[in-house]
Amino acid sequence: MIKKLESLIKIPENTDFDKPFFQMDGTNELLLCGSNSILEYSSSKIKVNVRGIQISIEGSNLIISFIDNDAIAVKGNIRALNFVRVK
Amino acid sequence: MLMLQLLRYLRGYVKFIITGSFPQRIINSCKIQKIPLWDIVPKDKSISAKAYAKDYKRIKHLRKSRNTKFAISEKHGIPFSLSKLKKRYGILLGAAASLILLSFLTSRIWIINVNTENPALKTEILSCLESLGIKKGVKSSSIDVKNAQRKLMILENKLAWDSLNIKGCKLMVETSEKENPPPKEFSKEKHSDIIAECDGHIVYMEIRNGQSLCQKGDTVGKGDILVSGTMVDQYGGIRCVYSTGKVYALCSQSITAAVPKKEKLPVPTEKSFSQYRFILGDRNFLLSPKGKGETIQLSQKRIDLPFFDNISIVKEIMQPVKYNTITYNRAQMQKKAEDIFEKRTKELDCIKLISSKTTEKEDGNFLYVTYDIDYIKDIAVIREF
Repeated sequence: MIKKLESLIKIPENTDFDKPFFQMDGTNELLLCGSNSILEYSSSKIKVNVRGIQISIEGSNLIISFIDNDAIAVKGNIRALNFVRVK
Repeated sequence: MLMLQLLRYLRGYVKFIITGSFPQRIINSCKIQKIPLWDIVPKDKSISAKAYAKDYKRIKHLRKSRNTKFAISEKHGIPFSLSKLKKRYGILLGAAASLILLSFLTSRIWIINVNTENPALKTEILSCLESLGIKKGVKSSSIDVKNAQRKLMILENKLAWDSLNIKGCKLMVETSEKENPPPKEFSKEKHSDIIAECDGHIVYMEIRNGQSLCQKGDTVGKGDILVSGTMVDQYGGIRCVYSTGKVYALCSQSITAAVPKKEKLPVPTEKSFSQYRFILGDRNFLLSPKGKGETIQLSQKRIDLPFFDNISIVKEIMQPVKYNTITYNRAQMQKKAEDIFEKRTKELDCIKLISSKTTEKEDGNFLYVTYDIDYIKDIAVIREF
């Protein structure tokens, strides 16, 4: 049923809506969907917990341009993204 | 992006600073409570963020420890601007009144512009429109344009076509007059004879209706019946008709032009200037200072005020002049006499000028030039009975 739906509205196959989804625009903007909470926040490092995965965004002049119940938008000079699976 | 900024401005938002031990907790709490925040910038021991004005009150309640403090640094948006005007009732009332007045005035017709060179036709069209319920002050949405165009064509038989356009508060009426208006329909109840307008010798007759009492070559006098409207039919019965037709006759007339030897003519002295008059009914008041010396009016423009019929402002272009006496020589006086003669012959409605004899006589300060002319004219005049 879900596969039929996927083919109808042309979603890529095997898309798992339970996993985090993020979109980068160059190295200056990052949109992260599915985030639960912010663990650490400074202008050089932002750590976010996303459904059992800790994503660490490292760079300079980092700011959260928008935050909602399900999405975080980060702007700044992003240098690295680190992923740590939490049990 | 611009729409988002506009939306935020319309709703009103604040920029606030969270200081304390763990300001990130407040942000997480906002996430859980579904309170949107933006432009979150970390500082040394604080975080600044922006939120909608209504949401800020909810954010303050999320404080969990006494160390966490909130401070508003900036306020933006229409709600904050309007709150300053809360006690300025006059401004709010004035704004509301102006909006109401504007919507009322723009929904009505205040100027009716009829595009025609014939002033009599313009007056007729305006009275026709008034009979159809279209006049100044009427709601523009209540005017059925197509219906009005059709009815105007029926009421005004002289129009070839007409067009009504509403542009804002103006009603533009475009018309075109028929070149040959239809002949007046004569009622079966009306009867007429054709009589001679002046003395003459008949050279041509074209009778459409009625009984002719004279023929080509006859000499008739002023007032003589040329065509009778009373006819006798083949059974001896009498019936009355409306006589129509043309009767061309050779007529004679003398035209005398009196030309003065000396005349005072105005000569411009300075540049022309404008002066304004305020007209209220039958009275008029000069609004600008009167020019010195003698002046003549070059042109005049009347500006009618849209709401009042009897009030208008007239702009006059005036020229300061000085009168000089000019003496004419014989040739100039003869030329002036010819101009007078041409003007008078046009008034006679003559169809063709056959002959003209000129005599001149000087008397005092005038030269009298007499023209004895023979001309052909339509002398038929309809007399109803």
